[in-house]
Amino acid sequence: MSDDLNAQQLRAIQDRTRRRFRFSLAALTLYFSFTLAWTDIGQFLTEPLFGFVNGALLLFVSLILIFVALEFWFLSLSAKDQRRENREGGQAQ
Amino acid sequence: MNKLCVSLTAALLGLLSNAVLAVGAVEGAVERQPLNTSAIVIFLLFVAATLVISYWAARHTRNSSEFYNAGGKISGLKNGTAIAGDFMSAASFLGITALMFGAGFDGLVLSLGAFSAWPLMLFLLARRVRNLGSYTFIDVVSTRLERSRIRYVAIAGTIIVVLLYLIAQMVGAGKLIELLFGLPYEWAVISVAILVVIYVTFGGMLATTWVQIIKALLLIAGVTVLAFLVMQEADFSVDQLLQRAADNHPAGERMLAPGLAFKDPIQVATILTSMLFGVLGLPHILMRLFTVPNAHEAKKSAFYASLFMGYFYLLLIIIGFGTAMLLYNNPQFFDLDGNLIGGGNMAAIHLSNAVGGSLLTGFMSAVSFATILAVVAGLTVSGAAAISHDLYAEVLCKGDPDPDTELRLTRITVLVIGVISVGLGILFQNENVAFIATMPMVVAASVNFPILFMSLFWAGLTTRGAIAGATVGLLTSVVLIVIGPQVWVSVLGFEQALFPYNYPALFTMPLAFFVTWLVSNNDRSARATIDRDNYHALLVQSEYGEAGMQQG
Repeated sequence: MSDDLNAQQLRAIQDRTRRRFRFSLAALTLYFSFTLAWTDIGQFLTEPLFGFVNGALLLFVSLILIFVALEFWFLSLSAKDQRRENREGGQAQ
Repeated sequence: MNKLCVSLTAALLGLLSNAVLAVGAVEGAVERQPLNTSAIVIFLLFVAATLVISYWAARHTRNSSEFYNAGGKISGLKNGTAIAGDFMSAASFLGITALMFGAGFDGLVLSLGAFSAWPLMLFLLARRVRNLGSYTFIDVVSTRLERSRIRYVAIAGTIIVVLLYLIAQMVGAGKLIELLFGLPYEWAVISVAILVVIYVTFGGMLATTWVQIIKALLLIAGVTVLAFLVMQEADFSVDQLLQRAADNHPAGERMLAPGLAFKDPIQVATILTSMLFGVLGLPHILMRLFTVPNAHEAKKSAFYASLFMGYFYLLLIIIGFGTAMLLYNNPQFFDLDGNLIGGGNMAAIHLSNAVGGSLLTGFMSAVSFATILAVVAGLTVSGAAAISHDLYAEVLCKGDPDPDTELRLTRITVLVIGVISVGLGILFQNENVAFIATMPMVVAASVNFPILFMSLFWAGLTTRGAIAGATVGLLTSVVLIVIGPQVWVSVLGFEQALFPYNYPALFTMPLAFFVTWLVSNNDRSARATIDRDNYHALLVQSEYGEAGMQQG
């Protein structure tokens, strides 16, 4: 029983760890994409998009909003995991 | 053009992390302002409220646990607000606004750097750190490694970061308060230290938490009102705000795009790396994860902190561009030489005056003072815990200290830190401390973060590898900062720096990771086998807490 539980826990941990890294990788990629605005490739970001609002400013605002959304999504997935574990724990008992 | 030069000088002083901004915010043309009565009245109200809270908190702080982590009873929302209060410093508010006033869009690099650590804190660290530690991040790294040796290294990392951060904060505080309130520098430094010692000695983490919560709410309220009034001036049109900012700014429309202060994407990447990973290794920030009852609340803390900070940094766009819109064309804010009165970093305060008169100016000045108290209080608790918990209780007493002696030692340590901070603040008052302020973020990113991350996520980590990586991270950070522009050129007077960047974490952190990996992989000692074998238990505990361990 203890071995089963342990194997089950380890699988869950591996899944969660993969999720952690996926979210972190997405956040880091987006974060460092901000440096594009200082490169030749990213010159288009300096062009105005809507009136005086340019791509770089829009990118900054979008990054903050996307990060908050990612965090919310991550928390929702964690909460779902927690509910499932509580349910399974209840059934096991 | 003169105005642009002055602004850019101020801005370049702000090309720094949170801690650095504390200094950047007040370096350059510091000019004592006339005594601001409304600022003093509002600040005295803040002090009175926080002292009452400290008195209340003192009655709930009877043992070390309550001192270090407020008994672990703070909710996620309160803790998230306190984290925001700990992190959104006067430096963020004044420094980033100053940078935007001078260099426009480029100031936002610092905003993004300061904000973006929080998603990573949630994804990678919050749950595992909370489940493994008791009071400090050092508890976490010593869970699977050889207790004493790794604690010595991590304590050194903590003390270095806390002391350097304290120097930056105290010098920044002295100059800022001199600037805003017209108080003499020494009195400003002493008054900050006295208030912080009172909060922390009597109220511990509980009082510190409430000081940070109140300060966060005041700052959020202040910037909300300020941003609203700026938008009112622009008829609630972002386009008009940006157009008028560009019209009035000496650089014209170039101030709306990247490139006025930073030319090189690598330079931007070095700042982003230092800020992001530096925050993830700051001991006083990590310590806040232990003040909540469980890992779920720790994750919520990081999320709420993000919400507050995201909101704050978004409003700084309006405030930053608002300074360009409303100050450049108004001679009342410039002296006869064309310099912004009080120095470039008074931009946010002048903006408060331009849109809200003396009452809003007084409020924002008082909030700026309060922010310093909140940050220094957090640092003091962290430094005291490193000495009394990590060194005395865990290393010298092998985890079995006399509780009364530990608590007494903690309070004495707070007092000593208070005295040291005054001494350092006065000692460094006329020094160029920009490089000292750079170090905490770089050291935290190159020493603390690699040890913490690898102990949580890599089974192969050994004590020897962790110590080697941390040592290399520390030494390379110091060496590259010394041969970088801030020390080699600005302090030592050489013509050209041997290393071109002020923030070497982009290079030192990967090096620390590599050395840790290399040494751990080649470690064939008996202790290395134990360290690797310990990982499985750590993994389960880090995800499921003590309960998971008992079940497994």
